[in-house]
Amino acid sequence: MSFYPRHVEREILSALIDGELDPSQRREVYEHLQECAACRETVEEFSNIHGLVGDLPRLIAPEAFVSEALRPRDPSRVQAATSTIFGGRRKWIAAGMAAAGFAITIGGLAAPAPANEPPVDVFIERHVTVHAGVETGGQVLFAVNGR
Amino acid sequence: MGSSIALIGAALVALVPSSVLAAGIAQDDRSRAVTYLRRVARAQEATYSCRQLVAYFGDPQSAAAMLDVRSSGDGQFVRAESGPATKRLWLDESASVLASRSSHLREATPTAVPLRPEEVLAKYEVDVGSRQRLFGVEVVPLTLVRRRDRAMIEQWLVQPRSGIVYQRELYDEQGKLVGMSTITDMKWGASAAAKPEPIEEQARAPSTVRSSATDNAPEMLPLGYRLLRGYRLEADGRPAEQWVYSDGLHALSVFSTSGRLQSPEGFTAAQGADGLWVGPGPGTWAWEGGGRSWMVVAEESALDPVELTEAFPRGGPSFWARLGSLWSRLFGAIGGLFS
Repeated sequence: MSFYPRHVEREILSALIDGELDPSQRREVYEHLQECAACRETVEEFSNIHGLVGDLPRLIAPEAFVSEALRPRDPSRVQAATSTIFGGRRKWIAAGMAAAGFAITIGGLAAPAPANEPPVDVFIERHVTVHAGVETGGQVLFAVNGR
Repeated sequence: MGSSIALIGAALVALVPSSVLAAGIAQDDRSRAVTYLRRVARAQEATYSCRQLVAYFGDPQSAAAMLDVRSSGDGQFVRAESGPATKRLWLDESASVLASRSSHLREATPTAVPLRPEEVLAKYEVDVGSRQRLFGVEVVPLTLVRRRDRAMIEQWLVQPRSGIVYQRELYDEQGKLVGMSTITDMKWGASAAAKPEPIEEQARAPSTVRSSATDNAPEMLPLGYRLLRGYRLEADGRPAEQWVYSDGLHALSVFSTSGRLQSPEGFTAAQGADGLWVGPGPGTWAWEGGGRSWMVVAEESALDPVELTEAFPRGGPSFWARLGSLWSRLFGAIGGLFS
């Protein structure tokens, strides 16, 4: 017989999903869920909310945006600046270019190189396919990931 | 289990040689454990449908989903819903199809990773508790303690008749609950396990998963993970390789793909391990090595990522390779400016 006479409080169901209940409380809620469709629906609702939170986009500037921000906007201005420099003071040109090359090299080595993120979701889902064969009967423990 | 054997042995030491008694009891415990593990391995023969709540209490992210599970002689179907994301998995003798927002994979000859009781018992001490009534059925508690560090890794409640794991809880090495699954609505019989609609009807064509050679894969990983097979698949338009390992109970996948790894989304830098990133789930790590990106997906909690990944290439490209790449990109950019 279930410990809960009617329905489990929403806070307790939420705590179950968050892993905040102690073993005896978990067991009582598990037992109640066997008998109570309404509480099962609430748990389902909470698990969907977890998924929604996990699906919130992260605000990370894409690489293209960074490259765009660093790129000179007007090539004609670059050309004008170049012609000014080459117009006189030649002795400074070589030194300036060498210094610039050195700075660019050091900066480039220190700055993160372009990267491809591994397709984490695809990999985790593919692993689940294999893993389902271990647990059999579709008893997949982690069919979802936190992303 | 070990302590109870010792206590009983001490109490009866005057009556029989203790070693003979302990061996006999241990053998009895072992045979009981083997019996239940075999029943769990045969659970796929059962015909049923159920709802299953799964949750992972992770750092930094947790996840939860309600699964719709149907199992019969025709195969197994799992539909997982979490927020707007839906994942569907169909497994039978002729194919396995996985469909979700991020992937649509098809494997023509699926081969499940078998549960091997002998290997499980070599790695874990399996304590079989006494039968109890829970969830309206009779269940037997099984506790898995890892022999190497005496860490309680899992607790199961198994229905003896079917071998179905009604409840499963995962713990870390400190004994903290890190994941759980529980069946919330079990229906037995063929009528309950109606065959779901075929996944292949989706608009997106699936990528085919093929078997591949495993020449470059380590045969064994720490903690008894043995190499079983390799696959070649396409992930997000990129070719990738998957090596599957198992310790007799858990599967562990090692993925590698082209491209560098910098700061993968959803991952955090692992403490005390340079260049290793911790991802979602109980054992998800990513790193860079040999000019490729690598990722491990493991189910077993309380794994040491450094120990587990030391058999694989680690570290980014050399200074000279980076220098060459930098100047190549720089010249490309300059060329683009004047073109």
